[in-house]
Amino acid sequence: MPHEATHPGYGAMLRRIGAGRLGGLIALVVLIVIASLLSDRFLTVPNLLNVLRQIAIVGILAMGMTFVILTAGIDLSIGSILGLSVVLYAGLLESWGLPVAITLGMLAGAGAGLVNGIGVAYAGIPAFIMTLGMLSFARGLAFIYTGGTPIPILDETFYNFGNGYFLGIPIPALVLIATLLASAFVLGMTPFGRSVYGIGSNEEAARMSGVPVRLYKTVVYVISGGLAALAGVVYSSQLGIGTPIAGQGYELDAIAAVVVGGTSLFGGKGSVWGTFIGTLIIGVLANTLNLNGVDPFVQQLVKGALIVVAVFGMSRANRT
Amino acid sequence: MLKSVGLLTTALVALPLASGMAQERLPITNATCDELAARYEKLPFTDILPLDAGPVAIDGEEKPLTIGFSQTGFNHPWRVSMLESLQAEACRHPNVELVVLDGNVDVAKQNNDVRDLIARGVDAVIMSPVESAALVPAARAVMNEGLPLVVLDRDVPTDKTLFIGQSNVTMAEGVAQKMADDLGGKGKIVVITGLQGSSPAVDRNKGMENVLEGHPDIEVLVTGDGQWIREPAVKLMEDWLTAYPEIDAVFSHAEESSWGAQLAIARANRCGDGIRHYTFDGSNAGFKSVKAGTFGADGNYTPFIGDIGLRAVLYTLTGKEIPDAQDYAEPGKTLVLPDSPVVTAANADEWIGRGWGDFEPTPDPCR
Amino acid sequence: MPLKLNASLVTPLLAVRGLGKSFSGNVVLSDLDFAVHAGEVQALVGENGAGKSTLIKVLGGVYQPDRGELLVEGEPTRLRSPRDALARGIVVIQQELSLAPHLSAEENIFLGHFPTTRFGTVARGEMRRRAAELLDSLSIEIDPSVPVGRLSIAQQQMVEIAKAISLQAKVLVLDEPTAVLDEKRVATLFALVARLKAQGLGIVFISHHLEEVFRICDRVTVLRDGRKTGEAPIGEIDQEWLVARMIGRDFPAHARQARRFGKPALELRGLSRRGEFEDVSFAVHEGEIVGLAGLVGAGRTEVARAIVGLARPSAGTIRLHGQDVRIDDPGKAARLGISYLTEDRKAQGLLPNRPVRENATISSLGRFTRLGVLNLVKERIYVREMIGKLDVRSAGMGTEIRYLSGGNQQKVLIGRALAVEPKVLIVDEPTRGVDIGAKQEIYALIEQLVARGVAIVLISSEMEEVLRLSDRIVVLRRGRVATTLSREEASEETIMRSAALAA
Repeated sequence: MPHEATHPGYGAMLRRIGAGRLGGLIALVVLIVIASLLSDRFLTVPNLLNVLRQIAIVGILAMGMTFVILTAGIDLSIGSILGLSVVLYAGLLESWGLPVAITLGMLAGAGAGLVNGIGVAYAGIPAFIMTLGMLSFARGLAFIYTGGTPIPILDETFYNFGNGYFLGIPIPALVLIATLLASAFVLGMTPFGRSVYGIGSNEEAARMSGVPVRLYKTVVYVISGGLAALAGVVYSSQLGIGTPIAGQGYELDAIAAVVVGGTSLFGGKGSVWGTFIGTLIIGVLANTLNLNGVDPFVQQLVKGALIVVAVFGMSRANRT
Repeated sequence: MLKSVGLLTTALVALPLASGMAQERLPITNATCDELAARYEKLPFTDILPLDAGPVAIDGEEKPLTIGFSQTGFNHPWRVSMLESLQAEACRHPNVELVVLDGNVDVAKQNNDVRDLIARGVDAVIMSPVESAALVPAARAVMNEGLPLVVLDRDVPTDKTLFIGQSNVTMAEGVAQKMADDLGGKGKIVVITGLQGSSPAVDRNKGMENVLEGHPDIEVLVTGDGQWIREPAVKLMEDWLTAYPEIDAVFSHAEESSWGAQLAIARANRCGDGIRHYTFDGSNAGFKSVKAGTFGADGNYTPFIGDIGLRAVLYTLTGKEIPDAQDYAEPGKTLVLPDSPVVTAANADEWIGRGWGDFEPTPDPCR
Repeated sequence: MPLKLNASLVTPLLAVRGLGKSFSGNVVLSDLDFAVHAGEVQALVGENGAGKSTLIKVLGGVYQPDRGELLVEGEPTRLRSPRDALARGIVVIQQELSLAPHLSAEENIFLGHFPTTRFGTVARGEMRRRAAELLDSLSIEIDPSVPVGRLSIAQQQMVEIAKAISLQAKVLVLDEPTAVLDEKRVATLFALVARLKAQGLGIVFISHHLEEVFRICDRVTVLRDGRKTGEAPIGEIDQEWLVARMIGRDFPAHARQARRFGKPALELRGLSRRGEFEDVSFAVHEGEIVGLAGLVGAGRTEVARAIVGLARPSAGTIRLHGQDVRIDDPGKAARLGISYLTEDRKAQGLLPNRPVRENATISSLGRFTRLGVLNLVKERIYVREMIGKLDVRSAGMGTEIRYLSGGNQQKVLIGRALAVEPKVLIVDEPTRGVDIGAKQEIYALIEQLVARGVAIVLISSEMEEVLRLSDRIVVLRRGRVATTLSREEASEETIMRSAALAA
């Protein structure tokens, strides 16, 4: 009788053994095996550290995007918020010093997220529209602030933050890992995180259960905006430049990492661990293609195919 | 993508510009006419179609003239600098007013922009097209109105008053030749292109290939898309340094990408390899990097042709003949500009201050 | 008198023989024989999880049998897809209707097989004429040009059936068609079923309401644990026979002592909300169940929503334990000790793709939180205990709740409502879509709660349920309190009279 209560198909079986997450991990391992067969330089410590550093920016963005997508929302503005924060760091650094520049840039990012959140949660504007507006608005601010010209960053400390190592690991990679751990903690271990899943799974039910839905949805966009500004710190410190075009199109890379990582665009399902693996899959793929000197046109094609195949595989594993 | 930026800037720009007020900040460049007057001296092509400062009279009458400028977009300082040279020329003529529209790198928007300019009743149109073929309808609309049309940088394959541009092909030949000479005709190089498929990237690649045909011992290891900017170039170079133990030079279509590649070289502790950079764009920062020895050569693709464009328009409106305007393969006439010399260590000092952009180069992390 | 053939002598329209089906090792159906004949209404009953929906999916071509064979008009057939089944005249009408809401009834009926002109465009005139004919022949009274989204659920169901007929259906499978209908509409539906039967269709009818089975079915097949536990012509059996075969045991005898109430827990005074209900006053005491009865649309759910802060009353007061309170949202209600079990489990209750554990604790996360951090161990222990107490049957607390049967889902939601330790519990249609066994368990649970002193407001459309559980019954009619009946006064008749008749 008890086994009758549920109708587990193969999907349920796979899910029970955690294939949602495991599937991504398996894909990553397969990719790594292929990569090391194709190039004997892939599995070297410097290269792997390179990969970690290369994925840091999109990885951090994707963590914030995961929060938003878990609530069944979307944030298209993170690339532009990154751009805005980057020019603020560069522009404020010289006259105000590093701490003030970082603080104000991060506040701007979180502030843009707050505007998104209020628009979505309180004014009821669809997330796609609201953040599409912010995509344009924040980018516009970045251009106005700089007049279209990149601002070079000459601060030594800042440069070392983006390009240095701590305990042998690139600092941007550490920032990504810290973001991952903090996000995983918040999502898994706090009432807020639990409610984020609840809102994404069934917003009305969450409301009926006493979850402060509007507040939490707003917070989710603030997190996304704030993390975009954090990614901006990594961007500008690595590249030594505050350019208003920074981060163009990154929102799509972040969405790709999130969905490849097994998070459902319909909300309520997924994790930042999955997103981390998704980011790694995309990063390792790009690295491998570069190591083997694959034509850039073909690279785009392979990346597109990977996203579709990965998400298709994920949906198979999740079928009922 | 940047719709609202466009709207915003358009709104800002569309405000009537009282040309008499020298202290007023001009849109986008945010410079005053006084500041621009100082820079005018350094513009490279003021001797082409020279024109004295002062009001422009048509048939002896100094009536206000409105000139429309439709720019590809202002998402790159190179594009802003082109406007700067245009504004600098406009500032010299009190009865000339500019209306500047931002095409947002969108052919559809630029087509509309040009039609808006016509509707506003401008006296002439200067256009720097997003894409050659796609702006033909806009160009035809201008010509059908009987207005002078000067096309800058990228040509349109239809009738026009004048096209003013530089050749990316011959410029790339110059840069590649310098690279071939430096390498002694032998070596391994990697190529970071501009945005794949864009016409300057295609032309710069063609120029390089023309030269490399004569140097079979120079091997292109790999080509990647740097998208004109820094961030993708860092990743590409990082991975290539891992994959290829021996790289002699980086041929990059943009200074930004070259700086990114140099950053990757420093991070990989490969500064000692003596990898040379050959690049394009012609910014002051780029010239400084040449002088500092980071770049072996910088293709001097100057944006300061906006002033020539405006002078060509004023020549046409006042009925003055444009000397050296020639027939060429496309409909209309072209003004052949003298090739700007490739900037190398030998002439860097002479060119610093005459390139575009007033920002400093990123310090070379290898030094 | 039409000639009536002995059904068993005629080749059935649709039959399965020795049917077996399992999913990843779990046997869902085994060695099942089942047949529908022309001009017959065959009931299929069984608790949720007994295998009814799997059988329907096999009949409808969604699943292929692992063992046994499927015969269409006596011919062994493989139905590879629902399309295949449709082509053989087998139409399954699901609980969730599959109409395009923006298209009109006539367009929906002919969707996929529009009559066309010689230019390939839709022949509107002909479509209209044929739709009207069809609806007429079935005595379905709806305006065929109105978008179906604007029709009532009952009318949409009719459109769906009309569509099936237009597809030349021979066998019609109706999966719990009455679950969403009120009594009057059920009668209309049954009249239609009778007409279809007279036209020679074979009909499979699934319902939790056993009295309906006795009203319109000719034969009944009972399933339990994927096996057939009984089959008989309806005339030869009674409800007890059915129930015993469905649950495999007898009902506990229902005996009830009078309850002892405490102080008033929740009092409504002149509560109104414009356009929904007006001047509603009643009180619920500690340890008392007050039934809120009335027809669909009488305002029962609206009152409940106003109490828990999902809608703002326009006048009147809510008193809790003798004090006026203002409740702005369900969170506030929960903090005050008022819990609401929604009538619409799917839309407002379940977090479908979240595990049972999270569904159970979403409204009470505070009690597992210290310094802003959830104590997952404590939560797990709590949920395990709750699952045991409420007898939730599932593969485990990590199973996504959408894979549970309706009854088990409802138990988890009751657990969620109880997790906030409410003093006042409002249950809205607590046994809707729940099978008989689970229904009894839910009743027992409600009775336990009330014995512990919880004040309960019971909203239900099932007379039997209201009568059985309530101490007092407040009958609403058009948003106003029509009457309040004591346990002694209350009967199906007195309630219906107050609910449906003008004073």
